[in-house]
Amino acid sequence: MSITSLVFAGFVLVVLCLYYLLPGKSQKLLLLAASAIFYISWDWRFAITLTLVIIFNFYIGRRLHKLRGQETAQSAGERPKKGKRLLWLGIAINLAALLFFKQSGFFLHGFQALLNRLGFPNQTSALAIILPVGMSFYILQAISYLVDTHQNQIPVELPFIDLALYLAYFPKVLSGPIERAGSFLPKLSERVVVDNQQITESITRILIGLVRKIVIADVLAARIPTNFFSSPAKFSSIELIFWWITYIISLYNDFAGYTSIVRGVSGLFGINLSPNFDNPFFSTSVTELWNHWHMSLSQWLRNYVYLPLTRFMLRFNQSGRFLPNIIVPALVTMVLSGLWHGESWNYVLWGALMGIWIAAERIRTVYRPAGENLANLPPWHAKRIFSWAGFLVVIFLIAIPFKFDIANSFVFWRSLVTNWFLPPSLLGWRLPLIAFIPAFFIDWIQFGKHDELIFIRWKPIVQSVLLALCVLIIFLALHAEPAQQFIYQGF
Amino acid sequence: MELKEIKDKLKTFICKELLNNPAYPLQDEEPLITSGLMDSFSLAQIGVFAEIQFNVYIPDSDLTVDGMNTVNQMAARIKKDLPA
Repeated sequence: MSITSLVFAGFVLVVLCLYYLLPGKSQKLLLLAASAIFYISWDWRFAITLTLVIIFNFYIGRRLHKLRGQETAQSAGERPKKGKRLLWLGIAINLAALLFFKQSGFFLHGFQALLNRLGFPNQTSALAIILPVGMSFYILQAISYLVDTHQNQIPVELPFIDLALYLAYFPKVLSGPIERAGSFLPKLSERVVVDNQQITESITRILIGLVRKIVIADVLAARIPTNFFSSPAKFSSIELIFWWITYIISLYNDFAGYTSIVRGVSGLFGINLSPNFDNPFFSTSVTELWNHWHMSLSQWLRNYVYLPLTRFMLRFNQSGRFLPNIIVPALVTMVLSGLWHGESWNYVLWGALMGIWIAAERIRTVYRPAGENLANLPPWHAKRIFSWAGFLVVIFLIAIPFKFDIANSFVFWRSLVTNWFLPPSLLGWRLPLIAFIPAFFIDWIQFGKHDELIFIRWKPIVQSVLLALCVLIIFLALHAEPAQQFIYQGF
Repeated sequence: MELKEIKDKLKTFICKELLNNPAYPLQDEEPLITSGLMDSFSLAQIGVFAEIQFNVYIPDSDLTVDGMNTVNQMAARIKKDLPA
């Protein structure tokens, strides 16, 4: 059941009607039942995995909660001691489950290559293990729940239904946002009042999401030449730049569109999900970019990998200028991010390059001249000009392995330099250029006012025209291109 | 330990180690991270400093920009869990 389908729209309407007819206590049960139906609609076998994950983490969470309660004369300011082994066991088993499904492909390719060398035929299809949809996301949330329980961030013992909803809640189960347990769980009980303002904002988010996904992302993705990622050497430098930028804009609007839709849907139930994007292309550094791109994943990595690892290393050498204290946490965090995204070496390379760049930015901050502080940086335009240069390096160097395999990444970089005199054909470039307009328009307007929902603050006549235009272009785009799966559902 | 003593130790540490300027006139209510004086990664150092200097463990989840942006906020957080 794709979230851009009419079936999903009908499903949400039915659930909404039942939701507001039922008394408060039954609403959680309804949401859980709806989440089960939604998830099973993808594949009933996936539901078995999710159910096992919920049961396992419920049991571990309960034990952790009891152990925290048993710590006698425990000062609030001391590091929790009891339950550490159980916590690590819980994390390890969650990760093992994810690795089993995700990384089996990673080793499968190597194993298959070995078989081929020994003369055995391809067995890949027989050995393939399918990653349950959304597993990369709900496993991270399960780990968040265990760590927050251990650190007493979830003070009460959680009912099973609350944990099940936290992990399986249908608007976010497929591709997040990756909600923090301590932040999300109170929302299940203290729901926002769904007044006219809440409804307007929710529907606006859904509409923005549909424009991003259907009008921009799908249209752009369909125009990228089919051999672009497999044979970059055949393209001129101008084509490489154009189609790569097209892909980046498509990827961003695909995921931002998904997040906008699910936040809008969830808002109709009075449960506000966290934002995932905040106009990331206006960032002035990679560090800042990761505070504005896939924010929920960045915050998870920051809270559960970067900060703990940095603190661990600082306990051995307290100097913030000790280079390993700067480089290792950034590198480890981003390599893990790469592995989370995909089961091949190009993602490891992507993560490593990102980590090195972030460490370099941090070294620049830490080793800045005495007396200079970040607040005294050059004026906005000069800062942005310099940051545009860095931005280009990030887009055309660091980001490449995110989509190209390692061999083709090097081919891309070489071709970018050498293929300037190849005649560009840019077949089918007109429609992407047109699709760039709404892509730029949405982000520029939102960034200018630092308001994601600026459009509903405009005059009613302007809103009406914009609404009619949105409906028209969504209809035209659906007619022109078949709907495509969301990219992040594959992670 | 009094709040003033906590603040003085915090300011000395922040100015010397994080701002690289021991003479900087840091104010109690001055926003450190949102103003760009230091970045959010420095919060990890603040966390370790609190452990070693005051024997107070601040969970990673509490090392946020919202909760630890000024000297006043940091000192209050440390004072809250200071061993008696």
